[in-house]
Amino acid sequence: MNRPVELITNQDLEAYVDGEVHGMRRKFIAQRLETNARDRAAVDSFLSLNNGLIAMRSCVYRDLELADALRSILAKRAA
Amino acid sequence: MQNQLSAAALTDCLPALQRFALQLTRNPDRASDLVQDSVERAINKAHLFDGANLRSWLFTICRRVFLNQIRSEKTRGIAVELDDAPQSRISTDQTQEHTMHYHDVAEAFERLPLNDKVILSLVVIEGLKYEEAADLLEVPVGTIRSRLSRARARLLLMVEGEQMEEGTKVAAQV
Repeated sequence: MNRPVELITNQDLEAYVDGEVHGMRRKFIAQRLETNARDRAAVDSFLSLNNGLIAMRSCVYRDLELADALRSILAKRAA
Repeated sequence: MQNQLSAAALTDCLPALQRFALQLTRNPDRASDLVQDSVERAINKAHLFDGANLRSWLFTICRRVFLNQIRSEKTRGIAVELDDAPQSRISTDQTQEHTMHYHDVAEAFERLPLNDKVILSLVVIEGLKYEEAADLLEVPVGTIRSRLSRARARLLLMVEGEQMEEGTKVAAQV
């Protein structure tokens, strides 16, 4: 591909939603979203999942197996 | 009209949608308003239609619009002109729709495999950067990206699947 910057995958869109894309690449994706309905719909879906999980955080963490797993993983960061 | 949502296909579904709306509202005028709102919503969300079963999809939208309306009515006092309505009241429907969607997401999340839950929780809820998550899980960043993507795809499929299933069950009854 002559212009690889134009190759945008779902993982790129997810990274964009997660704030993992910066600089020119972020600007390029933002511009593309203005004209590409499919990518815009994908970003809307990812954003809505993220918002749903954040809003329902207390429900999500009622899962004790998950809470334990996260506690032990995050403990490594604190160490 | 966008994607697979054609005017002709939409028109074909209108009689069934009208019957369904009448069944929900038990009032011909309200049913017509509900159909109109549902079709408007469908056109605005045409990009989300997967092309599989338009009737089910429309019924799902109709049911959600109706639920939003009755929830809104429960909290509504006297009717006022739109121009006089406070902004918070106008946005009530949208807020309730978000709340319903969030519950769907949380319910679907519960059914994900533990590994999917962990990666989504670390990045989305705990706000870890991909690199931080990679360090903690002792895997490359690329693995984090692909695991996240698979987890999101499964979650999305479950959330959308539930909505389609609701529509299909209701469609079978009308």
